[in-house]
Amino acid sequence: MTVLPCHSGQRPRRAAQVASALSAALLCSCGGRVAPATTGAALTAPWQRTEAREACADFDLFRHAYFGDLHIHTRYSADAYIFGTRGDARDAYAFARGAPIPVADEREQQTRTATIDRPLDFAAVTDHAEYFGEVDLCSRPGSPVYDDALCQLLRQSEPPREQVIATVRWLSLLGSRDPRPSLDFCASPGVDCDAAAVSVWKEIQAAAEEAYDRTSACTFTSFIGYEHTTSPGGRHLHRNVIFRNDRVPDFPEGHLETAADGIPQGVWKAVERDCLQAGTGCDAVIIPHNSNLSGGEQWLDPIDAAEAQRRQDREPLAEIHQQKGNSECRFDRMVGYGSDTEDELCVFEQLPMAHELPGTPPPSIDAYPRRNMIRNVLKDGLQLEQRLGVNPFQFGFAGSTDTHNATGGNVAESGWEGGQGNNDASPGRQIADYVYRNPGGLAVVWAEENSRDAIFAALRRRETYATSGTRPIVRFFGGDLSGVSCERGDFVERAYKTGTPMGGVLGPVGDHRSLRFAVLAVKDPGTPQVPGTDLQRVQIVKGWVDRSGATHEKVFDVAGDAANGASVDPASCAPVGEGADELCAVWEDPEFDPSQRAFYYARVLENPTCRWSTLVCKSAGVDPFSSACSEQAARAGAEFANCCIRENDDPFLSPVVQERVWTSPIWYRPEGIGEVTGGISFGPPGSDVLELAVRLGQRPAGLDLARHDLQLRVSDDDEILRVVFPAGSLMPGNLSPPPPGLRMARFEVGPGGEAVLRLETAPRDLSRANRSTHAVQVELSGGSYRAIYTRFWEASGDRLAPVTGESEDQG
Amino acid sequence: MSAGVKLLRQPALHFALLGSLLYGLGSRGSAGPARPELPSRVVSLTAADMQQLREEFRRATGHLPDAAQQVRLIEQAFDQEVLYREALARGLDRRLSVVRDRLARLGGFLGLGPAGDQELLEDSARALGLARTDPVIRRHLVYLMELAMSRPLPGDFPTEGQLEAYYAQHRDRHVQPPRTRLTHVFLARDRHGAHLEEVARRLRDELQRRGVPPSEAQRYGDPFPAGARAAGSHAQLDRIFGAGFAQAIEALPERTWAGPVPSAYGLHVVWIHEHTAARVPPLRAVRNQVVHSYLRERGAARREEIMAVLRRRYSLAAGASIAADGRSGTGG
Repeated sequence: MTVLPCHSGQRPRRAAQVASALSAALLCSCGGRVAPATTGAALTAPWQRTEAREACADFDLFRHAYFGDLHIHTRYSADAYIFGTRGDARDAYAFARGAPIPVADEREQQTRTATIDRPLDFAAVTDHAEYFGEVDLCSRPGSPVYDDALCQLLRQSEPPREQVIATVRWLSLLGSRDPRPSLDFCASPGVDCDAAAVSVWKEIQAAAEEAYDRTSACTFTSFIGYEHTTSPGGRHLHRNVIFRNDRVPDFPEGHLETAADGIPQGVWKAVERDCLQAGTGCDAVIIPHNSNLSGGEQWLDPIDAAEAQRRQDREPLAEIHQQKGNSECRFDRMVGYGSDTEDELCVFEQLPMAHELPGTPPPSIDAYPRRNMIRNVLKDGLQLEQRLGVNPFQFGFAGSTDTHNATGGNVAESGWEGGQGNNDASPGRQIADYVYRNPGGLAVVWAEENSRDAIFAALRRRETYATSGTRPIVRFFGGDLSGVSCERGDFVERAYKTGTPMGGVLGPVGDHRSLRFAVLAVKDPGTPQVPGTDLQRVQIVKGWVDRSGATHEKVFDVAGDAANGASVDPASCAPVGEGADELCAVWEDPEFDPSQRAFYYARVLENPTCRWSTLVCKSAGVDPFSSACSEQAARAGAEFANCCIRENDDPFLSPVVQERVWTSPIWYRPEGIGEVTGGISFGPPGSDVLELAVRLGQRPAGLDLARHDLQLRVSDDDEILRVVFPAGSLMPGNLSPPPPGLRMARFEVGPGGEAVLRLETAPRDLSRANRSTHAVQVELSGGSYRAIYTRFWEASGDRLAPVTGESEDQG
Repeated sequence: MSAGVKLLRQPALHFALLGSLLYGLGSRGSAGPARPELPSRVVSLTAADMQQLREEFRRATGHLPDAAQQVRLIEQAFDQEVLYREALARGLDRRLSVVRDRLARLGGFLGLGPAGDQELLEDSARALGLARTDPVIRRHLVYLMELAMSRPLPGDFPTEGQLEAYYAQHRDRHVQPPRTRLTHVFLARDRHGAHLEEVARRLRDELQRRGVPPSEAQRYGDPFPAGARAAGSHAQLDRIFGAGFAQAIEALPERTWAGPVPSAYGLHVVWIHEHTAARVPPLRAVRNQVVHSYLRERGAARREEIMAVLRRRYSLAAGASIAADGRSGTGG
């Protein structure tokens, strides 16, 4: 365990004198002012502790599901301010923790109140970094630009449909690939937009610190973050930057600062320079979102393997669901097919348009940019990996709201207050202009405890899933999975020992037999007021690429019953019929071909429920199910006409929806690590021995052993062993002499191209390996090749070793 | 300018200035050189002023102020006028570049001198009294005074003793609810149907009879995705298991197999590791939050102290119609 030292962290370029030295000191949690954490004896999580805090009472190696929202806007976002939102970061965190906060009404007055019945476990306020300072200066009466016309435009209360003027005038720079560095008034004498931006950034950090529970109760984790907002031609190439701890860059670089360095390379570069390589203990992940509005440009082909790897490292997750629509996949029921899919369930919460350039009509499904949809991007990632050796699009899933009301986690379909300030602040507004929107989703992580380090590590290893707003609990594993059974209570523990959880990567198992996948789900328990909905079924979505390079997809029903007959009572919206409390399956891919790279993710569907719009319409006296709907709408007012859109009139909308879960995928790579056997034998001090056999499916294309060093690294939270095999040294057969520190090293290549690396260390000190059952990672890297294999190794006597099929525990 | 190198324009200067402002802010008589042209120490609020305040309030909130809100408006207007006059008394309008630039610009608009002669333009604008009448300058000066009064100072940072005393006074803000830590064995309603209750009782008895420790309990029962262990407040446990679960385990004994307890999914045989009573966490665990609120309160208190002193230097002369609604004078 390591606690990073406190640092001054101020680069001279952006010396943050603006906030007082006091608040800077406060934001640094070190300096011995908080007791360092002590985890329970012999419990090692596979991540380093980077902050000082109490250990969490609920720490569990086999992880808990925590529900959060990583996409929340407050008054610091220019658009949210224009829409009448006045809640700030403190309000947002208070809301996420269950407190009621005011939200704007249709006239931008703060007369409404919103609250959530179940607090979130974690949240990140992610305001648009562009204009932090400008918004601050415009909203502070003492500022020298308070009376500037642009400031007045920001503050004035206008009807929603007239807000487009203010929004366009404020945000137009974000649509430029070569923007001016700031708004005009920032150049006025005595006006310092950068300084104001830094003070807002400090406010956001302070709010996060105040909301973060550093006690052993671990009730809430706040993350510091911001949104980097690039919209060339109305194409949303937006990304959220989420920081691991309170050591963050002095200045949050947005589109205006990074555009010159490329899109999205500019934001990667800023995060690398100001965070990852700053030497301050800073760490961050970047989460792209709204690819459904990106005009197909959110994920473009990388120029080479290095850029593919960079994207994989910087962007481990994508937001698959939020208020501005779903981005999994798209099916047009009017024409009977989808964007590179036949999956009819992909009508779910689709926005008609493919980007937000004003004046462009929604495209037909044939003209729809296929990379707006994540499933297509994942398939293309396999294709690119086939070509480059590295998959640039190897990301997991998060859901979030993208609320602009500071109301993170406000995802209930019933009584939704909207999420766009005054734009959708009334039932009429919601139906007239925002009927294709939805309350948004949640991000769920599997983490050992509710702390920043634990949750961040889960984001980084993609052990996450997204929901469309409800809270089913879902596990998903892949691999050998020997001994994992739906009939056994040790399903989860066993799966961590013999397989990888969601987000992981597999190589070939056994003698090229099929991969196995295990999925276990329980329904959202709900609350007494709003009971959870039964589960309908579990599906596994597979995408693969064949030898010719063509991509394919197929959806398998693996548990539950699509024909369970459940529906809703059109009069009351009450559920009719039953589904399942829990669903479980251990599934073997019947079409598995070990030569074809593939991904698999689980999609869990709930029974049908009434969509939020149906509930709003019914409250207004307009029943979408009724044959008299049009007459009712005519009486209720013109703005309710959309209540009567019928399934056969619209490609996507429906009065009934099936809420759902998407787990992060598990990838299969023919050149991945298929199996690791061996283990550590602990001897007297200084004479421990590690033996390993690392089996690769096929020789990786990106690794030329004659030209590249090959590095093997074994680690838990600490590095246990690192061995470098110099270029040219790894020839089939025994290495003589073996690299320093090894007693034996041997490289074998089988007839099918499969390779095995065997090694045994000379007796040495391996005491950094924790001697309890826990996750151990084996990583191979060389050239552009990298493969990671993580399993829980079992401790028994003087041994710490991975579990194999032969050592199966039949307890 | 290259996008990556927008330099901060010496914001530190502002704050050095603010720091110097505070010197003597709260003490009578040290307010810098006498300014004979300063108006009297009476703040007049006319009916027209009041009408304007009410109108601004309506624009901001959508409705007219009620009686209490009107009193508050008058207090705020008075305070702002006091701060404004105190800023002028300190010569801030001559020292701040923002104000000087603004005056020169106003002078330029009015053609008070040749373009480019900043000093002449500024002086001419000042001679016309624009430093007094321009609302932008006024708001800026008031804002800086507010900032100077309430921002934390290095000396505000609490000593260990002060912080402990403060925490002792405000422990109620940090009370954490009772918590329970448990291991459970799950039996799914969907799987066991009508036999669920019977199966669960048998399992409980068997676990007890065989003395199965909680660490080995995962071998029994049905798989449960949320895991075999849980810890949290009643609200947290109910979020995992469904409403009512926490209450049902509240009275269960510790360190033995008990139940079965119903959840949203079936029944659970439960091993309570411990029930923990409500507690106040040690200061070190909440230190950052406590320091934040200490400093915030310290800043607010000092602002009030200084404001009270300043208020005493002035009196309010309000129009008759205002006095009927609001108050006729302030603490002076």
